[in-house]
Amino acid sequence: MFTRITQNMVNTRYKSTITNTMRDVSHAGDAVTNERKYQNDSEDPISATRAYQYRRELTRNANYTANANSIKSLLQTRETVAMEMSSIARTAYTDVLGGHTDTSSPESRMAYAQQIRSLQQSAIQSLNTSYGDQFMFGGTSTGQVPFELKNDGTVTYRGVPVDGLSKNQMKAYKSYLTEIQKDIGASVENLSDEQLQTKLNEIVADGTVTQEYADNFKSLHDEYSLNMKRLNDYNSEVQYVNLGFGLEFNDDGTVNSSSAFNTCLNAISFLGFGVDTKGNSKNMIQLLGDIADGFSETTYDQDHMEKLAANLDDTRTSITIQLTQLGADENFMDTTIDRLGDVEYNLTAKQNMTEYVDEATAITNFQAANYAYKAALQVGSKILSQSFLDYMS
Amino acid sequence: MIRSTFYGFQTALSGLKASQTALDVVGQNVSNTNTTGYTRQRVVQKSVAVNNSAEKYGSKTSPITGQGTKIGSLEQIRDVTLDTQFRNENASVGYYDAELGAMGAIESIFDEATTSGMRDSILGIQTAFENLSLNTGSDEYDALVRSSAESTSKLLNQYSRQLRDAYDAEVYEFINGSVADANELLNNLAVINGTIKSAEVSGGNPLELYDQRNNMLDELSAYFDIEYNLEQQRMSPDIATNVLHVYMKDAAGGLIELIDGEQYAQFGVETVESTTYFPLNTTGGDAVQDAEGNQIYTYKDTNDEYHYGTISGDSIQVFKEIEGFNPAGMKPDYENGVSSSSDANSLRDNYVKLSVSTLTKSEAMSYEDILEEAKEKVTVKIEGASRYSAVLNSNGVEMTDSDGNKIYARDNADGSHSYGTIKATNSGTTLFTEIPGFDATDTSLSGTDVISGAEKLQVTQVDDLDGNPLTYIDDEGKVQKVFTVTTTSGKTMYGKVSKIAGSNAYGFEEVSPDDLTTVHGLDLSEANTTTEVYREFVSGKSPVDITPVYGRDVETGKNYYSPTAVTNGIFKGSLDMLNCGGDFEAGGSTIRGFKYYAGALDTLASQMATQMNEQNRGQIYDKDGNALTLGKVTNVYNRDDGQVATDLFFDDASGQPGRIETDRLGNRIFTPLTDVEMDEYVLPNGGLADLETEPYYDENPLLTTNEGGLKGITAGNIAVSSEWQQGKVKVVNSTAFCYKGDNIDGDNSNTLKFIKLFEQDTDFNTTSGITLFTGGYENFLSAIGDQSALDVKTENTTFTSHDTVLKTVDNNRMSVSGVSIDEEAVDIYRFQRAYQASSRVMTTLDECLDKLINGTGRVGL
Repeated sequence: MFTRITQNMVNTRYKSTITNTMRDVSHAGDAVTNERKYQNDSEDPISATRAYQYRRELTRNANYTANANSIKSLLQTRETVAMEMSSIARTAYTDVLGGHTDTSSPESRMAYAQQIRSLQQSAIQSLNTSYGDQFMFGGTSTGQVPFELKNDGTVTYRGVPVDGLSKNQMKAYKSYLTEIQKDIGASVENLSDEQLQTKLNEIVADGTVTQEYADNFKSLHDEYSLNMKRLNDYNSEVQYVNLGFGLEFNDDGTVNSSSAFNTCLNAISFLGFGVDTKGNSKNMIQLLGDIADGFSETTYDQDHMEKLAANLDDTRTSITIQLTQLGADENFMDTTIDRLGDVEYNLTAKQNMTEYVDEATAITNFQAANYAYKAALQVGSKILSQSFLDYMS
Repeated sequence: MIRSTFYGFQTALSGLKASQTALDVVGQNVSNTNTTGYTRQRVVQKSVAVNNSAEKYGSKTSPITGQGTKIGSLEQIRDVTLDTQFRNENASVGYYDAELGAMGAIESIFDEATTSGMRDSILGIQTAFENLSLNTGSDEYDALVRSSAESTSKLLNQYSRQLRDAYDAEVYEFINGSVADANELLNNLAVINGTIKSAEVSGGNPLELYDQRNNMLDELSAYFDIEYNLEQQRMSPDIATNVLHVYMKDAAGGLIELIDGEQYAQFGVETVESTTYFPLNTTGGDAVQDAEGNQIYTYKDTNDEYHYGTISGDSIQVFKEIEGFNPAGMKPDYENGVSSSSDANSLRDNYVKLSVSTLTKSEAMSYEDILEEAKEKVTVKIEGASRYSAVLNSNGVEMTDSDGNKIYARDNADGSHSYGTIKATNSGTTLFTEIPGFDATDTSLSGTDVISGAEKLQVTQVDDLDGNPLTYIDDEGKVQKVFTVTTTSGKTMYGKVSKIAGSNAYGFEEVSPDDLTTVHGLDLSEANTTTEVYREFVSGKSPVDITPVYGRDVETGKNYYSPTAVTNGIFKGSLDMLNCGGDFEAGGSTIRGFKYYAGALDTLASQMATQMNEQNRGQIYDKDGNALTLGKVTNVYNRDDGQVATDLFFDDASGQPGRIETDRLGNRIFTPLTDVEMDEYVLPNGGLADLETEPYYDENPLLTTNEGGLKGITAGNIAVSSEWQQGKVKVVNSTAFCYKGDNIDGDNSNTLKFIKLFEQDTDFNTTSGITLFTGGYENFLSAIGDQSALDVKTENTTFTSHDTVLKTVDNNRMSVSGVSIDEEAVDIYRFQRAYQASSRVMTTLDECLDKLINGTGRVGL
């Protein structure tokens, strides 16, 4: 079909072309000035979706990195304190051994006692240091000092005597326990609360002990049980931090331990708590006090002191184990920080590739668009002016 | 046959004339080269046969030449098929253009390509929780979480507001731009049809008017799919005119006539705004219902006045007001607002309805015309307002008729009295029935028993000949039905019925001056619908102000064609974007308009708030640290003030009543009531305490509506709870029990669950249960934004392809109908030469005659 071309058709098409080329120039110019591949999401929805994904992952990665760095410093501080504990335990242990061979004079024993007391003081002070404004050896109890030395020489942890009872109570409880166990003919440890009560009722009924005696024992026993339960609970506490391992929760609402990093540290877990079968403390801080007391006694009980020294040696071992653990954790944190750094590098690279243009390409595109625009202008000046009228005579 | 001497001169002259006209047409074409819609014209030149050349007995041997030329007609060169193609394509371009305009506004709200916006803000809350998880127990870190939550809430409010503004702008543009333009085009088309008709009737050929009309049709085709045809109407055996009919296609395949020659229809737009309706309860908590068992709702209007009524309807909920409802002893249940949404800013339940009026003539009808047209159908029943007094007999006792009805005397206008009884009719009207020939001797009037309530007028709605309500626009610009009333003095008036301010009564306002009482002699026997109104006369207004709008009834929608769906064009594009809510729409829709994005944003806000609030619930323990499940006691009263006690709970396991207290360590402890404390409460009469079966949650709301509500949270009203702001509530980092002497500030077990909320996959569901997305909060927001970007891109692509087709068709049209300067320039030569040639013929003839006259027969001179 023969198509007529009118001047108006040429004009209209030219206008449309020049607008389009001008828009291309403006667009290419934007890309040069802000280096972005797209100015609006709708220009490239797929890239936009990816870019938001990378931005999100980068933000989260930054969170994890910050968390990991913070934990690393915490671990380092803890390590310093734990090393101090190890050194205190070693010094104290050496002193006890020294004391054995040098027990002739009460004065020299008193000197040991004083030295060990000052070690106890400094251990408590170190354990009560805070990291930021949080106490770092109290497990989840970060808002109050974990260790306290009471006037009677009892060491408490988070408000609970580390032995389960205060020193005086423990003394009384020990003597009650020996009598009562003899009377009921069984070890209290193996009895449930109800069974114990029944047995006690029996010996009260047959006149072996008075009601008051039994009640006093029971109340001490209950307190001891509750305190031991609390100390055991503390020992199994957790406090996780999200390092991007895919935080997950178990059905019971607890954190899946492999999905986050447990930062919880209760000092009693490596300093020990409770008493051994002889009723001697298993806690290093309490032991320091008890050893000092032992040196202060007018008569030196070597047998007792040896047992305390053995317990102290045990805590020294567990401190060493804790130190190893802290070292391993620090290494792990280093690896994690490195890994997170790699992730960040990769994500940033991907984000740049998605959102930003290569400068050279952008400038080339701009020049090309500009050239097309200039060409269009040139053509316009040629085609628009001419018609047959120009050649009529 | 003998040729007349001057025969050739006329032939040459016709050639001159024809060339002259052809040059005029060239001039017209050239001068309109750039006129939009101009169609090039050309002369249709015909040769003229000699008179009687077809004569039966004409000479066979000496043929007579023709008598020159004549201009048969002027023609436009136009291709109707291309017009149809153009207008169809134009509707599609209009549709996508309108959608793209609205979507562009939506996309710009969610687009954060070059800015840091809500996505970062939501991630910021997670970061704040991460920091808090390492520093639990620190108020500063709690405040950081709060301020990041606050910034997200504010951004949600802002996005919601921007969406609302964009919606309002689109509504405004639709009403005052698109619909107003289309209405004006329809009006202009009717007017130009009239002008064309006048020209055609007087034998004219108004080519330029056709161009204008075609141009208007082109413009109109952008708004919706049009159909049109020209119907030939013969005015006389010689004269015919073409009547233009224009229709809009509706979705059902029907055609709605918009133009019938000089008659035209107009579009109307109605916007339905969303409001929150609260169910009404008795103070005892029972639902208040009407006689049919429908719940009664209430809402407060912009003047702070309460309205009461029922709600019905499926996709569009309609509130039907109950007049004169007395809400004594009732209270609204603000927790369970329905409908619309509990957010006044939300646009999710707004609707924009398009309607089309019936055809009307392009010039305004006079008020007299309306009444004239209405005359035959107007029916009036009259019971005038009067003063009545009871009639007493000579003993001063009230008189009755044989049926025991009291007899009243009516004050007549002339001072006399008519006597009769007053009975209530079924419609509640009181009717006075006169007792003819009542003997009033020895009677007196009570004077105290005046029945002012009988001052009711019966007013009749006036219909036009088609049975449609007659309406006019009052001076406030509102459409009013015309009512008529005749007073006791026999005066018939026309006017409107409207509610009297400050009462539930209606008043009648006359709109005609006194001379309209000439409308008498109507058939009064058949009353149509009657409405009772109280008498209230207000000064009338001049009938010239009244512009008729046929059959326009905003109240019932009657006589208005409401297309269920426009099929294409700007109208459909705008209406789709305004009304379609994608998955949020009842029944679902593939079109995601403003409502979809508002709905998605609301879902995000509501889900985030609800989940965070649930995560922040406390655990209640007994004094030994055993976790308890509690219920609430609901119907026990305080002995002191007699109010329902709000602080009483019961332990689900033991059934013991007690109260909740916070101990020094921050534990929430349930303490059973002691006997003494028990005496502070009173059980309901003889009954047992009512126990809620739902467990009681110790709420510590973090995010609420801006009025503090836990329900109905939307993007528009989400806010950080005032409790959190005032420090009464904090992020619950742990729900573990804290023992005496201990402190568990470092327990972050619950904080980690908050972090998990931001990373885990959550289903985001619409109110009807359709899952829009599964993922985290920020992922969902990104998904909404991605959706809007994709929608824009898709629409852009489709728009571009339709636009290209439109341009091609337009180009083809221009190729056929446009003026080519080259062609016209050639024509200038052509017709100039023809003119010159005809002139030469004339001079040649002249020379021949010169020879004949001056050169012959001169022998001997």
